[in-house]
Amino acid sequence: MRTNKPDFFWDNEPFPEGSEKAHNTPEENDFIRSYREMIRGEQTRKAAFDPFEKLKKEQRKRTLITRRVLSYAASVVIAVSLFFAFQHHQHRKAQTQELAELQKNTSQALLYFSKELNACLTQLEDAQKKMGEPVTSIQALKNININKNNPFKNINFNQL
Amino acid sequence: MTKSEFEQVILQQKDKLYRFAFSILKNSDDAQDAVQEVVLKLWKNKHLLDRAKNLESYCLNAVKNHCFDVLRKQKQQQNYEQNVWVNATTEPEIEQLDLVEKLKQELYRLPDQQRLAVSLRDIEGFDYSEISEILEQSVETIRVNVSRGRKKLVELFKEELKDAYQ
Repeated sequence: MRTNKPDFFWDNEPFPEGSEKAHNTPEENDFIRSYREMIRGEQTRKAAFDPFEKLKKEQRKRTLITRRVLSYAASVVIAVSLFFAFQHHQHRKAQTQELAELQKNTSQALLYFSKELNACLTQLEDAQKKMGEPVTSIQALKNININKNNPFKNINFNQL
Repeated sequence: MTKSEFEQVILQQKDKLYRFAFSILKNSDDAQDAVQEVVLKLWKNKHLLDRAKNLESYCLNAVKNHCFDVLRKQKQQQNYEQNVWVNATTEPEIEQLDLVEKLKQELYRLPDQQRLAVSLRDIEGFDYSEISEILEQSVETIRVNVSRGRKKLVELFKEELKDAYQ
């Protein structure tokens, strides 16, 4: 039975070739033709663009950020290394200086000690000579003069 | 999915994605932008692509969601149909357009859901289950929307024809 409504709207199928049926009105056939042409036109709608443009931009950005982070990290590592190297260098320098000072002080102490020893030995020799002499001469031993200016005479070497 | 596989999938669907984005946004630049954004999102979530049953539907669904987000963000959603209606009715050159062009304009004047359903069915050639996956609606709703869209188109077309013959 012919209805007012064209059947191609009700079967929910796309318009296949030959949808223009004999029982369709000229208007309906016009519609089908125009509709099919419109579909063809829409199907050819294309745009010349790169769908990966933003993806590439994002990847470039990410690479740039990674590089920046790496260079920042590298600079931090370098700065920290330099700081510790400097600290180490300063420490070693201080140690070397301390050692040199200790060496100098020791040699000076030895020098004073040997001088003092020499003086003592000389005075001991004199005292031995005076042993055979009269008592008055021996009393002069009380006047043995130890160099009081020796800065190392009271030094405690265990504390060094 | 490797990068080359991903690129291949996108290149195969590029025009389809663009047409679909265009059918929602009705602007070529916005549609291109949307496709590029979606490609970026898809790449970021490519592990989900591996799980997708139908890559084509999955990509188109992503385009649809993104385009509606764009419309929402631009706060154009409310004025959208009004604008289209105003543009279409106030265009003085509409009389000079041929029937195919008029039909195209009528298609763009259809409500969103009907227009998308008709576009996907008749222009892109998807079956109802695929369209239901893309638009996240039941197959029955899609059938109804396609049918109503087509009916509206033929009615509008007949009116145009009448006007043209008068």
